[in-house]
Amino acid sequence: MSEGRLQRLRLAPPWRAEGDTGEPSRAREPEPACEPPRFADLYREHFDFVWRSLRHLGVVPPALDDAVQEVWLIVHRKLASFEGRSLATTWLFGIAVNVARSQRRTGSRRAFGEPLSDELPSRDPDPEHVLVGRDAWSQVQIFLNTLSELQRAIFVSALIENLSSAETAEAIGIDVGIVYRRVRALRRAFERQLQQSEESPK
Amino acid sequence: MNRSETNLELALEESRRRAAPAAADRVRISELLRAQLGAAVVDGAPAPALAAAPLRVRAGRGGWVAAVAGTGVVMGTLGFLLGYGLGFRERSASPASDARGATVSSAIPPVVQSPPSPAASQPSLRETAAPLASPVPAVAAPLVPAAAPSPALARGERPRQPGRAVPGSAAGSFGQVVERLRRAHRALADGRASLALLQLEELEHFAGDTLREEREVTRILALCALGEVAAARQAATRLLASREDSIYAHRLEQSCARVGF
Repeated sequence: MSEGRLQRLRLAPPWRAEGDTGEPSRAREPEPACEPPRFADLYREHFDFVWRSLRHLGVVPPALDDAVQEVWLIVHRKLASFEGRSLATTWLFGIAVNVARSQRRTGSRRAFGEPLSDELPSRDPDPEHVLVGRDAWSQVQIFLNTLSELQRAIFVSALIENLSSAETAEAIGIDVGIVYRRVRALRRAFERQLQQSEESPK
Repeated sequence: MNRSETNLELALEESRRRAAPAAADRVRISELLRAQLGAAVVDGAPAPALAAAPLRVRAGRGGWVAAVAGTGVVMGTLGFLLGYGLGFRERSASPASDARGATVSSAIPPVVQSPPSPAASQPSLRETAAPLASPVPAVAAPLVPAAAPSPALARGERPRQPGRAVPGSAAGSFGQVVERLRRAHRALADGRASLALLQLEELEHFAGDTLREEREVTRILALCALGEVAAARQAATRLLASREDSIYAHRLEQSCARVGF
């Protein structure tokens, strides 16, 4: 099997059409290639980002350690081919999306996309804030679980992790125009859900 | 910013906070990755075992003999236990698969036949990633370039080719190859053939000829699991051409790689 074919197997998102080269339209000119970053630097700076992204992409805690490891193993393997034409977060998010997808497809024995437990340790000791935070957290989880795989990836990238639309498009491998439209729609839908939740009797 | 936008931003911020890893998570993953990738990669700080010793050390003749003896024991028992390897079901991802949607029962070649250890009975990748207990220095290709040339290079000796096992460190490398191959098996049995292939590729860098046949058979089965029938058959043909008496011939015949042998 050629390396190119293997790479596509690992990295091609499911929504990419057959024959699609995977080159998204770019909202900016690619920057000149530079020296690939050191693995240790990437790991130190983006460990939290990768963890959070996988978590929001629906990887449940029992599988999270494996998924995080898998992302970093792929990063280690592919680092030499990372040309620095995109942000590291863009590249990492693309890998995380595919690892999360792979987990869902092959790890159906594990629950995927379950809402996180409310019993997760809060970093805020204030009980009132905990209640508010728990509700907000639940709302995000409920909303994420109503989304398709693509919508979820866009929501996590653009709204939770604040990657730009161009970066989201590049990470996920879709047209930037689609990202713009989807982000607007997702934001409106989530706002609506929050509003309904606020108005509904407790 | 109106109220609904504020609520949205607050909810997203709370979600970021809740999904963030704890310090213990980072420590745990760092340890697991360090065990797989080697020291000095994960956090820039070399692990004590590697910091104290060069990456490759020529062991005495006794170490080499022990490694050969160990290999013999393992290889001798491979045939006996062939039919009792880990079972897994190939995915029917291949359109060319004769199974046509049905799964084909096959088995992964066992790596090493030793009494089951607690680690061996645990299915998760993270649970198998613990570093080897042996203090033998890792022989994985260094992930961070060494600051100074090795004494051998300084003496003008020809550098070893990558992929060649170092005889002197064979005892350590054999254990590591076994451990890593076991991880690949587990990934494959867990349905994560891509990860298994990645781990096998990593092995290529330092395993040399150690368990080459087992690695190749595992790779073929991983290719089958990914639906890469043509590549699997090509690899199987190549393997069996060089090893006509391969003890894995029957195993391969039961996989997608069967080519009429």
